[in-house]
Amino acid sequence: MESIVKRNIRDLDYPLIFVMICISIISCIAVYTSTYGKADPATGNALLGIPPHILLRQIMWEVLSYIVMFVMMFVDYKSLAKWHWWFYGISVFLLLAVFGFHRVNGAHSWISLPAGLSFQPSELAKVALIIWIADYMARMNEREYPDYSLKGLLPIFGVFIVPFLLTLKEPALGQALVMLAILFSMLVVYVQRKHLRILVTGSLGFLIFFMLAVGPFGNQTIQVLTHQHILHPYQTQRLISFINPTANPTGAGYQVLEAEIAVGSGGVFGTGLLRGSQTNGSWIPFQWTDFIFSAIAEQLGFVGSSLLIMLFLIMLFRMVKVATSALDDFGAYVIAGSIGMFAFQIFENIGMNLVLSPATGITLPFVSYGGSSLVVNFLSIGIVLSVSLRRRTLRFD
Amino acid sequence: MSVRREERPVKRHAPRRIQGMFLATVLASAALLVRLGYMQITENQLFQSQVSVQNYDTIPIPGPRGWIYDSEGNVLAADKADFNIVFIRYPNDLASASLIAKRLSPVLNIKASTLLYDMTTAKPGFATVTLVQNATPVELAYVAEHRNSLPGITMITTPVRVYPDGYLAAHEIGYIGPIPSQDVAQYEKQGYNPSSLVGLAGLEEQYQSVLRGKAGAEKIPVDPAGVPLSGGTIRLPAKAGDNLVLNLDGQLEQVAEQALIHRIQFLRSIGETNVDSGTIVVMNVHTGAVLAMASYPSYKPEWWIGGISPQHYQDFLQNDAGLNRAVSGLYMPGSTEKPLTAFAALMNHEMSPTLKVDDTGGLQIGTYYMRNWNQAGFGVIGLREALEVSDDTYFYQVGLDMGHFNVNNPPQNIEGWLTGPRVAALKQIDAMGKEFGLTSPTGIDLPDEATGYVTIANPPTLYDLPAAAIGQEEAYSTIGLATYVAAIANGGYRYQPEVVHEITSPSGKVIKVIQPHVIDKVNVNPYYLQLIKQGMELATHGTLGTATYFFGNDPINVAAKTGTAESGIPGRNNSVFIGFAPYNNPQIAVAAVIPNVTGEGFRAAAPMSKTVIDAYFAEQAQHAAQTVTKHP
Repeated sequence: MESIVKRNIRDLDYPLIFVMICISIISCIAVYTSTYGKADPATGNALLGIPPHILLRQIMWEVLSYIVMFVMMFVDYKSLAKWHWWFYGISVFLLLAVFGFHRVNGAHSWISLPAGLSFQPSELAKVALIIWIADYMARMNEREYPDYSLKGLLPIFGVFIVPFLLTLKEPALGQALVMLAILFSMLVVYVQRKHLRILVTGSLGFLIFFMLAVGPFGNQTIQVLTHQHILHPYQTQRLISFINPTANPTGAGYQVLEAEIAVGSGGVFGTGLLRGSQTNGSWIPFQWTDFIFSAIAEQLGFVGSSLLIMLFLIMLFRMVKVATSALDDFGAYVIAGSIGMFAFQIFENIGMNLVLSPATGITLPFVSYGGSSLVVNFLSIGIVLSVSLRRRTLRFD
Repeated sequence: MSVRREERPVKRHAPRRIQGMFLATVLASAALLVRLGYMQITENQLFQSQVSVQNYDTIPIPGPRGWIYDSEGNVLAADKADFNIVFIRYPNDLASASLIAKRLSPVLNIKASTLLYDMTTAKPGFATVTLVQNATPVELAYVAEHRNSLPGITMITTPVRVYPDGYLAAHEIGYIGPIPSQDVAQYEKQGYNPSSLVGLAGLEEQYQSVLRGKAGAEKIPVDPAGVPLSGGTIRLPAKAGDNLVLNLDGQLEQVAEQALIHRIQFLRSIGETNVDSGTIVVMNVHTGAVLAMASYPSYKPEWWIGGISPQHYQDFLQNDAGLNRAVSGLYMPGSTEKPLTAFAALMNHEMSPTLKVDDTGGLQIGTYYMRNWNQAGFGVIGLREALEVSDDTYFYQVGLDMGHFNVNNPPQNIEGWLTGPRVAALKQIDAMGKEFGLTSPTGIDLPDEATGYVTIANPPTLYDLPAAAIGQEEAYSTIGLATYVAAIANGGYRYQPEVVHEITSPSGKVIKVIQPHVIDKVNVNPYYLQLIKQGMELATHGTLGTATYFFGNDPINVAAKTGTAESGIPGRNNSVFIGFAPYNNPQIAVAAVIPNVTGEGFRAAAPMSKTVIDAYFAEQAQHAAQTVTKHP
C-alpha cells in the first residue's frame, strides 16, 4: 500500500506552487529594475542604501526559500504543535536580543549575521504566534468540555501581548499590526458566534472611525496627534502626511508622493521595464523594499499590477481550499492565521502604494527585497502544502 | 454557551468563516483594483504630468585625461586641476546669501552685489551656480578654512589639458577638442557626454580610449521645482585615464625639430623660397621604436585648449601645419628607391649581383634618351658602386631587364610589352615595396597614415619602367622609408613603428608594455642585403659617394642613400635621405624629406640627418658616462 504522502504527491497543490513561482519571477524583475543602474559607476559601490549585488542576493534567498518550503512540505505539520512553546520562547528571546544590536533605519529590528546578512526576529515571531495560538485553539476544541468563554481566550491574549509589545517597542509598528491581523483572523475562525459579532462590529467600527479621522476630521486628528504624544514622532509624521500628503513634500510624505506618481503614470500597459522615470530615476527611496509595488505599477501598468493582485488572490484562494479541507483543527487554524498575515500585509502594502492606507513599514510578501521575510513567508507556504498533503478528503476517499 | 462535543474532526463553523474571510479579501482586492484603475487609467494624464524628469542637479566632474611622457619621463601632456568655486542654492542658505557674498567679496575680488546676483538671481532654475573658475590658492584656502560659515559654497575640480613643451612633438601628441558634430552619435554610444573633449589628432586621438578619464559627478537632489534638498548629495568620484609613456626621446625630438627648422630657414635664406616644409624620422632598428619624428610646419597643441583662436587657426591651416608629414605625407623617393629596385630584380632572378653596366651618360630607349644625373657617365660600373654614386643608368638597365626589354632589340609588339612585361615588372617593385612597408601600411600607432604606392601610368610609356627603377614613379611616406631602411640595416626584419612604449595606470603602475612587433621578415637573400649595405656605406665613404662630403669624416659610421625626385614644381626636387648607423652594428635608422629644393638631394636632407644622428650618439655616450659615474 502506498503511503499517504507518496499517494498525495500527485495531488500536491500545484496551482499554489505555480502561483508562487510566478510571484517570485515578478519579484526578481521588480528588485532588478528598481535598483538597476543605481550603483556608483566608478567604484561599483551601491548608493542610496542598495545592498551590493542585490539581484544575486534576492535569487539566492529565493532558492533558499524554496528549499525551506519543500522541506517543510514533507514535515508533518502536526509535529509543529508539539514544539509550540519552543518556537514561542525562541522568538521572544530573539525579540529581546534585538535590542542588543545597532539600530538600522532608526529601529532595533535586525539581528546582524556574518557576511553582511541580517535577520528580523519579528518575522519569526509571527509564525511562532500562529503555531502557539492554533495549538491552543485546536486542543481546546478537543477537550471534553471546551471553554469558549472570554476566560478561555485569556491565555491567547496573554501569550500574544509579549511579542506584540516587544515589536512595538523596536519600534516596528507595521509588524505589530500584522500580529494583530493574525490574532484577529484566528479569532474570527475560532470564537463563538456572540464574540464574532462583537469582533466584526468592533473592527468595522474602528475602520469607520479611522476613515473619519483621516478624512473629514483630518485637521482635528493632526491637532490631537501633535499635542498628545500617543505615537512615536515618525509615526505621527507618517499619519499626518497620509492625511495631508503635501504637508511635508520633502520629508515624511516624499516617498509616498513619489510612489503615487509612479503608480499613476504607469497607465494601462506601463512604461516598460527600465523605462520608468520615477523608478529608474531613483525618485523613490528604498523602493526595492516597501514601495516595490510602485515599481511594478509604473513599469508594467494596470495590466501587470492587477495580474500581481490576481496572483495573490489565487494564492489566498488555494490556502482557503486547503484550510477548509484540512485534516484537523490545528491545520485549519494555522492556515487561517497565515491567510490573515498575508492578506493584511498584501492589502496594507499595496494600499499604501495606492495611498489608500497610511505608510507603515510593511513589505509586500514574496515580492519585496529581503531575506528573512522571504524565508519565513515561504516557510508558511510550506506548512500550507504540508497540510494539503495530509488532507481530510483523501483520507476518507 | 452550551457545552458541545464535536463529532467532526474540524469545527463545524471553521470552513464557513475561513470562506467569509476570503470573501473579505476578494472585496479588498476589488477595492485595490478600482483604486488602481482610477489612478492608472482615469487620472493617468494628471500623474504623468507630475513625473519627475530629473531628480538630481548634476555638476559633472570630468575625469582627468591620462598624461603623456617621453622615454625619459618628461611630461609632454598633462592635466592640471582647475578649481571652481560653486554655490549650491539650498533654500535655507539663500537667506544668508548676502552675508556670504559680503564675506567672499574681498577674497574673490568681486563686488558683493555682483556675487549676490550670481548666487540668487542669475541662471534661474539651476540648483548650482559657478562663482569663480580657476580659483587661486588663496581663494581656495579661504573657502576651505571658512567652510562652516559659508553654507552652500563648495569647490569642484575640473581638469585642464596642459602641453608644457610648446611646439615639441606636436604632431605626435596631437590635440583635444570638442567632439565634431558628425561624430557625436558615435561617441555617445561609447558613453561620452556630447560636450566632452576628445582627442582629435595624434596620440590624443589614437589612444583616446586609453587616455580618457571617467567622468564623475556631484549629484545634488532637487525637488521637482529644482530647489536643492539638503542632504543626500551623491559624489561620484572622477577617475583619471591611463598614461602613455613614449619611445619618443624628447631631447632627440628637440634636436630633430630644430635641425629641420634650421635647415629650412637656411635654404630659404639662400633663395630657396619654395622650401617651406619637411620631415625627419628616427627609429630604433631593433624594435621599431620611434625615437624622434619631426614635421614642419608645426603648431602648438595648447592652441586648442579652450577653443582655438582665429589667429591660431589661421596659423594651423597655413601650409597644412596640422599635417604630420612623416606619416600622412607621401613623397617621391628618388634614388632612395634604388635598393628596393635591386632587391626586386635580384629576388626575381632578373639581375645578377655581379651585373656590370657601361654608363655612357644615359640610355636610348626607342625614341627617348634617358639621362644619368651625371651626364658624363661613370663608365663600367657594378651594383655597389652604382649605389655609391647613385648611378641612374645602371638602374635604368636593371628596370628594363626586369621588363625583359632589350634596348638594342626592342620587342616587336610594343603594345604587348607595355601591358605585359612592363606591368609585371612594376608589380614586382610594388610587391617588394609591400614587404618593406613602403607600399603597405607600416601600422604606426598614429592616425591618418598614408600608404605609399607605385604608379602604373596610363597611358603607358616606354620610359616609365626605368623611371620607376630610380624612384620617379613612386610615392612613399617618410615613416615607410624609415621601416625600409631599418629592415635593410637589421638583416631584413620589418618592425611596426611604435611611438608608444607602455601604458601606465594613474598611480604609475605599468598596465601594458607595447612589445616590439615584427610584421614580417622580408623575402630578401641576406647576401643581397649585405651588398646593398655595402653600397650605402660607399655612398657615405667612397671617393665619389653622394654623401661622403657630409659623412666621410663622421666618427659615427653612417651608411646612407640620398635621393632626388621631381617635386611637381618645375626645376624643384624632393630631397630625400635614408640612412642607418653605425654601419657595423646598426642601432638607428633615419629617413628625411625636404621637398622643393633646387638641384641634388644631398644638399638639403643629408646635413640635418647628420645633426640628428650625431646628437643621438652623443646622448648615448652621455648616458653611458653617467652610468659609469653612478657605478664606479
